[in-house]
Amino acid sequence: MRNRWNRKCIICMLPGILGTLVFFVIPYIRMLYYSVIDNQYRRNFTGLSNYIKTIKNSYFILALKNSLLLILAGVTVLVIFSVVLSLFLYFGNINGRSAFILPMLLPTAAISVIWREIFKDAVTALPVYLLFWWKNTGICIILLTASFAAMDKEVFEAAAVDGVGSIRKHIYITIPMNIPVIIFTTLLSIVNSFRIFKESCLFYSSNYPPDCSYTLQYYMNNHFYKLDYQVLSSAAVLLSVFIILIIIFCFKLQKKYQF
Amino acid sequence: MQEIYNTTRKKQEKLSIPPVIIYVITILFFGTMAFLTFKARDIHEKGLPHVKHQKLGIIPKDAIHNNQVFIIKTMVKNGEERTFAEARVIKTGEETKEGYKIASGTDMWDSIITFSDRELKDGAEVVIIK
Amino acid sequence: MACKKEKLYYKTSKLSFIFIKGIINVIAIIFILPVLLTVIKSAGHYRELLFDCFIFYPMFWNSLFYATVITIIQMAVIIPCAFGLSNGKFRGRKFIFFIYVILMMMPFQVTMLPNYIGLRELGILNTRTGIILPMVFSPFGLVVMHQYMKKINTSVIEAVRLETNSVITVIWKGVVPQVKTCIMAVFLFTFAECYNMLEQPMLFLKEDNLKTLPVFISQADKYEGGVLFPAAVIYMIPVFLLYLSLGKNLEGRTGAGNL
Repeated sequence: MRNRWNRKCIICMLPGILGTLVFFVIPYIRMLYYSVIDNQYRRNFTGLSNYIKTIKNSYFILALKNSLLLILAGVTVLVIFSVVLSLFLYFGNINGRSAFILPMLLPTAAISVIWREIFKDAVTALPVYLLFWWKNTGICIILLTASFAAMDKEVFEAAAVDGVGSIRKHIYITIPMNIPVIIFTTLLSIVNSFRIFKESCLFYSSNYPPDCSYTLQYYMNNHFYKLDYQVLSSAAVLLSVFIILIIIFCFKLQKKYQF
Repeated sequence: MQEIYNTTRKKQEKLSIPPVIIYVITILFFGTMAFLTFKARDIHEKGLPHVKHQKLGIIPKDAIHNNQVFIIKTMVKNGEERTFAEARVIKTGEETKEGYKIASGTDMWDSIITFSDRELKDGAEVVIIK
Repeated sequence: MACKKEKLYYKTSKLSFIFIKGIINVIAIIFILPVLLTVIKSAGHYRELLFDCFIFYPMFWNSLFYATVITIIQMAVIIPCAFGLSNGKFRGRKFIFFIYVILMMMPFQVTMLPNYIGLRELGILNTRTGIILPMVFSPFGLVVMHQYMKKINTSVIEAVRLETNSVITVIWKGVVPQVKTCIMAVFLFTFAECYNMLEQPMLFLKEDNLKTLPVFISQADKYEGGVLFPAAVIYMIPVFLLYLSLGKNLEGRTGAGNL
């Protein structure tokens, strides 16, 4: 009986797993294959020469620098901002939550129109950063307030007995108790910082943005149009390895702080 | 022991729009969009001059005003090909019973507008009828 | 022992608190400002868009069509899949889930090229199916659904299993009522994500009739100015309506912070 039930469960899973295999896993493996051959037609195995060529490319280094800057600066500011904001929103009983959730759901194309109007003559990459913060504050606030709501309130009671002031109460109690959620929020923001490419592309409405906003996805996109598959594949593999490392790092960090 | 601290939060006021209004707005919105999808082109064309045109040959007298005729120009506007009327200054040639022959001013492959139900302006969009 | 009576939530009469509340309200208004500006700037250009730009209508209905179809099919595929993944007992469950998490976090550019080649080989490159199928099997829905299904009450499943043997009935009667919040949330997010699709139609489709609205907005220079603002407003309305009608279910997302 158990085995029949098990088999039925596995059969349930089949459409989903099959689709993911065909459309995500197999393409990924093919891409790994493309990154180690030198030409579509000759298909000689060249080992790591594609990777070395990519890493030495100055545009790749520029793109990598911009992407890293976006992750470090953008995500840090976003997490700090949303933690502070959700502390105030939750513990202060303020009603502004819908205003922050709304940007998350609005389609990006609609927003990029007005963003282009407002920031017509911006020289730095500031509009992209602002767009990133504007869009992702909502999901961070949702996660953080949900976690605050699930927190054990008796610790506050104990702290009140000890006579802790409000700011210190939050720094020493709320934030340490919610570190797993904060790590998850950081991870989610890092993933969303890769997705900001769509907004950035719509904002500059071209495939060649100014140098300060040229991120990895632009690099890969342009090579796709140039049909330069080898460079594209090696850059994509490097990017995915980078993401996998970040995910594993966040997993381990979250396990350490979970109790 | 009674609760010693106030844990009741003020009930968050959500945007309380009754569902009926949302359904009505949805139906109105999609109805309008569906209606416009089919009828917008007709409504647009009703406001445009309807013209007839011909290539070369004899042009009727009323197609020429002040030594000026209109020719048909197809341009891509808003992602589609549209027809426009462009004014050309011409010199008339032979005169026959039906009209004039054009001596100069238009190219050989231009289509000249012979009839229009409304006054034409340079660069105005037109609709061609048979 | 006399416990000091301490309010967990701030007294709303303190001056500094009112100041902070004012600041947060201003921030909330700044967040909504782009939307309001779009609506304001779009006034007067509706005639140009609705009666002059006929390529807008197929793209609008296309966006809605893709979003609805993808979301509905994805629900049908993902619920059994998540159920099988969380309730079946076989080796490699954690590994499969880990692969899904990694796939979820990859940006589109990583699998962009192999997807293109795969679709071309399957012969669905320039069709609607080619856009729908890859997005149906997107890993995001499955990860979120799996997190929720881990927490459901297995006794309900056992009770339903006593009555019937078919897995579909078990899922429909036993599982779905319990994870309704999660289904609504995934529905909303997947709808918003598919409604937002820019890269896939731009790269995989050639005919303008099949493309979606973000492509319309990104090709701003092909159309006369001023058409974009009403397009953005009309584009925003369906998602806004959907959020208004289903949005209250979004508030109950707890426990989403732990991977």
